[in-house]
Amino acid sequence: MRKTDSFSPYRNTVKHLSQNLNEPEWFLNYRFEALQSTDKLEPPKIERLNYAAWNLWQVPTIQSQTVSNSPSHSVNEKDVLVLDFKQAFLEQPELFKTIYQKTNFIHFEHLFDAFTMAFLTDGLFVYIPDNIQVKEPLELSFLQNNQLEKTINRQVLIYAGANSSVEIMDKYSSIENDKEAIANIQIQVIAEDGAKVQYSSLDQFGENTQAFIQRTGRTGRDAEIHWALGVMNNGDVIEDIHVNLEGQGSTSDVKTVAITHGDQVQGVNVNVTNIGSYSLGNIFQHGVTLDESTLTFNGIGHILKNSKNSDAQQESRILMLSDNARADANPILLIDEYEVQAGHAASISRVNQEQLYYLMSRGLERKQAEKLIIRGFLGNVLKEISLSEVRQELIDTIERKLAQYDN
Amino acid sequence: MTTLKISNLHVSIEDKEILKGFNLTVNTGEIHAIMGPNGTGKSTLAAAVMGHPSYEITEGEIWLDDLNILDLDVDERARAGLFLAVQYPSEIPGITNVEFLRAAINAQREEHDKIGIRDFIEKLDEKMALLDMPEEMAERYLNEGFSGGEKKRNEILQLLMIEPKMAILDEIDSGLDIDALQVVSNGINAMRGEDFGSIIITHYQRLLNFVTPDFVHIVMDGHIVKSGDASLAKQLEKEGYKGLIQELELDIEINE
Repeated sequence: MRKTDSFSPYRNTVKHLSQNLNEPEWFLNYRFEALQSTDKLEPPKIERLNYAAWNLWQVPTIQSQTVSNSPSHSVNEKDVLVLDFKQAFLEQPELFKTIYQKTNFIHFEHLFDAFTMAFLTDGLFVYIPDNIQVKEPLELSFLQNNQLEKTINRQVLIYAGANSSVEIMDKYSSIENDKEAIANIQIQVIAEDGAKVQYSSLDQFGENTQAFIQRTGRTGRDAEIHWALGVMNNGDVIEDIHVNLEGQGSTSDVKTVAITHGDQVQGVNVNVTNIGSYSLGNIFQHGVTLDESTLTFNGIGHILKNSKNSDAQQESRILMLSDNARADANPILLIDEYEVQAGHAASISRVNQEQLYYLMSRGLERKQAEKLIIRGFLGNVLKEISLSEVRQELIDTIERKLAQYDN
Repeated sequence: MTTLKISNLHVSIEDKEILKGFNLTVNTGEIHAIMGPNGTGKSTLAAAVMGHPSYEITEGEIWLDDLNILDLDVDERARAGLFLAVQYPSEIPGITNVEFLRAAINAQREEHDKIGIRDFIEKLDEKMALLDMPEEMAERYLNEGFSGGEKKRNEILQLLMIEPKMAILDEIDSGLDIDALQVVSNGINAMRGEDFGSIIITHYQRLLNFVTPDFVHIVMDGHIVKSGDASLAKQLEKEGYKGLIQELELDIEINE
């Protein structure tokens, strides 16, 4: 699974990308460190999903002018920051540096991390100070123009200070979708002691976008991160989620709904690691495969030694609507501690014929009945999503996707 | 007037013949009770008329006026005016009762004639009140976690909302306490009229104390062995199926 060429000749590209963002030297040094690592590192291995043939590692071209993806959302809350990296270097150099150095972005485990860092095109910094409760949800949407940006490498750093709380509504999509494009995205959420973060995202990259979207989370003592992900891309996409429940009594749940169609491949790889005692991890994902598409759900719950009284639960289910689709639901529980609770459920099934008959016996046409059953199946996850705006937007997106299924 | 005509119906399930030449004609305005011991083909009749895929019709015909029902899919039969209330309806998590009901009503209507939300809610409130159903049941997922009694009320609610021409109610009374039985009967009686015909399948006579049938048919061994008016059900209650077998000099073994 090794890429063929070395990236070391691209030192000048790295420099140019860095100049585009007006980066200070410390940041450029991380890029160079990353660039050096690229030649030694392998792409991350995703169970049951071979993406060796994908073209993720394409060096971005340098534009004279960077396309602005500046945050459009104005923040009313005092001291809350939503800045792109360029602004952050300028306006909050010390704060940004201190927090950036706490992230995983500067540790290169795989080719993905190193490549994204070395060839970073875009970054966003969200900062919630200690004890601040942000009332309105923060909307962060990212739109890739496939005509102008062949490759984007983006980092998003969301920092929630101690005892703060925030709801983030993220969104990824693309335009000029007849053009091929690549997106490598790293999103990190750090929830300090007692912080509460609700992060939701609706991912809808176009049919010619190949993307690797990695989301990592880290919880302090009694902190919570609740993830709600709509994996609704039209192209080949890996969504890779890693949550480390470091703090005692911390919680994270990762709720995912996914639809695959056409000949696309989507892989959702969720890792939740219980490190602190009394920590609680929950993976809950439902997906539907149509046409000749492939959907892989991995749920990996890992309870480390000394994570006493912790709890790791997971449920992965896929509904197959086509004989030509491929589905894989792969539950993995790794438990190194005795005093814990853990459970998993996984299934791949077809539409229940009794349910279908029952709905049709009330006059619903087969397609309509199937759609209701699909919606119900995904609804099990949707009803667990607490933000009603997010839930509604997901429902609308699902309806749109399923409307194609009529033909 | 609409007529459901079942002629010489033979139905098998997994190669075992259950119905063996069943004949029945039901007009709108009539309520027919079908009684019989367990395992004599009552539920098979219901499933075969509605078009359950597990039941194979080997001989005979079913007509709804000039429509050959056996040519139609399940959903087409429903849209033609047939309705089946079952003992054990499917549970469908994620779909609320209210959205399902609206979809079902609209399935019967033309594109330009869909029911408005206001009219729908009004009708729903009225029918739920009639069935003594708490409002929150509308927002619950379709039959999910419903008790046996709640499921049966919900079947009758669908009947009242969809207003079919011809309904088969398959042991809708089983497992109901007397209060629930009365409520369900109120629902059925509310449908009664010139434009509605029904086949009520029941094992016991007690439902027929509340819903008086125009005709009673006794089914044994896959066909009707005796027909009569409401008094036949009372006679049966007194003498039991065994008495009837003796009277008719039938060679049938039953498990009551």
